[in-house]
Amino acid sequence: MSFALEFRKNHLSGRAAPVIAPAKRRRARSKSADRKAVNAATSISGRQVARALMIAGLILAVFNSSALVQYTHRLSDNVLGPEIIIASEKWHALMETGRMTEISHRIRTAVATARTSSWHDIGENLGLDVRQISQSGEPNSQSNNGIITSAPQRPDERGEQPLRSSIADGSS
Amino acid sequence: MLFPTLNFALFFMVVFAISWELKDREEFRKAFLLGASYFFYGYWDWRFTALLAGSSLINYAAGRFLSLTDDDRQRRILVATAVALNLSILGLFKYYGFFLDSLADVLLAMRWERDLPFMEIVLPVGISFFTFQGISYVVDVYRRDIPAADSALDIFLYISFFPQLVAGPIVRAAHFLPQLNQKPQLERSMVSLGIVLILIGLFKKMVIANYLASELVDTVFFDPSVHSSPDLLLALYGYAVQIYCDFSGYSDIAIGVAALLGYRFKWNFNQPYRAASLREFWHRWHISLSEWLRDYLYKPLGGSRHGGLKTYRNLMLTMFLGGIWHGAAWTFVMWGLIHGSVLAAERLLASIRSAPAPAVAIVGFGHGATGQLLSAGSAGQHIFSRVVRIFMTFNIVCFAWIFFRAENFAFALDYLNGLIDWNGEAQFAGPFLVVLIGASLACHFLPETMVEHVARRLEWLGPIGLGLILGFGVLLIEAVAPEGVAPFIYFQF
Repeated sequence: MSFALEFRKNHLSGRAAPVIAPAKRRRARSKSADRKAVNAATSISGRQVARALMIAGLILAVFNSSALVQYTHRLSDNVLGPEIIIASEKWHALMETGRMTEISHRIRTAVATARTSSWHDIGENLGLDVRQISQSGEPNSQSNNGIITSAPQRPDERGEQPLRSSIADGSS
Repeated sequence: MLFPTLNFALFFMVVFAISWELKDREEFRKAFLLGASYFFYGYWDWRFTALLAGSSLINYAAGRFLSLTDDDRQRRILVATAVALNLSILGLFKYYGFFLDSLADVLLAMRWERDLPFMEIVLPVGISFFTFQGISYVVDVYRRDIPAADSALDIFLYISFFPQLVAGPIVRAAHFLPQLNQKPQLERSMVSLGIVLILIGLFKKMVIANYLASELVDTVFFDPSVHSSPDLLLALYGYAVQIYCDFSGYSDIAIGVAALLGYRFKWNFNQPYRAASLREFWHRWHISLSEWLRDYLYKPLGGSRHGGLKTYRNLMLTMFLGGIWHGAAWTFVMWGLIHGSVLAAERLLASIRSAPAPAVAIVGFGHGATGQLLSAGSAGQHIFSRVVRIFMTFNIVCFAWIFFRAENFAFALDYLNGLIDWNGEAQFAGPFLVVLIGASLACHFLPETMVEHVARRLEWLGPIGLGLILGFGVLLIEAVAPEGVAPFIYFQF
């Protein structure tokens, strides 16, 4: 369109140019600003989550490197399998040297102890009279149709290894 | 691909990064998410992706045809055809063997033995869930609750979206499709809620459900006849907790993963074992299924509109079909019938209680000392009555779980016999399992909005804080959880 035609259309055609009411314009502007703000917030949140996921991944790779080794062993069919396995084992050895895997070991040991604890152990820890505690789940209790005939002996009194040390050794 | 695995973690990290890179190109983003969902599903068995695509195509086509006609008769035929096709797929894969087994038993009993066309059919994972989603879309379009989707991509993604594909929640088209047409947003509240839900879900599944399964429930249910009554009772309560943690854990992770991708799903569980009636239980347990059954089965059957007897019939039918939806076995039918009859009984009792009483109505006790005493007494009575009703409801639900979990009817009856003929000593009731069950049940009485409160507290954490919580949270769960990854119970449905 030539400049003259455009000028005539805009200024001389008699049709008033659409006037947007200031309030409407403000609303439109604020809507678009809102959209931009939401977009920006989404981008920021997205980047934050991506970083958080990477940090979480790093934490797991450092403190739970044994899982990485297990995972790579399952990829042994892969073309890159052997290389990945060697790399993960090296990484795990490095983490073990730095005692990074200690946390997981300690938690696992504590859970294993809790799993095999009996009411007798709990009672002892709480300083309660072990004879009055239910025999349920107690491997070392002696019963006669539910009647406790004598105080249950501690494992070490019976010449056995205490339960906890056997778990710590990984032998139970 | 199971949620609590490194494979899924890697898959999700890639999907998350690419999907948000594509946030300004909505169609590409949807296509990418669709591809990712098919990859996720095909990871079990790629052949079943064709089934998923076929089911999506049927529902998309039905929706388009429904939008082209206003003729009621044609619309009815279309919706009936689409529903029948959906149910045929479900029936073939899920109920074919069950139907033939039952038919063979009947023929044998009548001495009309025949060679029946038995086939070994593998049940595609999540088939009940995506079939129900497809049906809900077609019926909603038929009822004009939602417009038919123009884009096939939307329907394909709605039916196959990976967080909810294999074990729900059963997302409704009216809730999800509008989200696909909006620009995806990731608010801070969604991020923190997503991370909190993923951690809670992982803990429920990997720690509570897996320990209960491996150390108690599987052993006791394997042969109930050799276990003592206290152990049977403990294993029953253990199973109630296990199935809740297993299924709600999956739903929590699904809702959390969807939130991180910018989509909102409704809650699927809300502390179900604090329900004081079975009706309330179904408002708190597998909410998406109970709403589905209500809207697409109970109400079309007539609901409670045609008086007492028909209401009870509708309740029984709905729960019977709800039972058979879970699996092709008579134990599931029994489970549904128990729920149906108790729901009907509750309704009957409520109608008797709400009948106009001849006595003078008591509107209050006044403000005096006697009035306050009576009010306090009434409040106490109310609390006591609620506690009793919660206890009864929980035990009815547990009673029904026996049939749900038992391998077959004979095992379920053995289990019941063992419970009734009370004897023996508890072998499994060690502190670890008792505390695990007790604490899990106690958590049902925490404030209902606690998860949201915790998530709100984390909203303003930066990436380092969130990363530390997620990383150490998963590390703790991984260290506490037993070895191995058991599949989710609801995958088989």
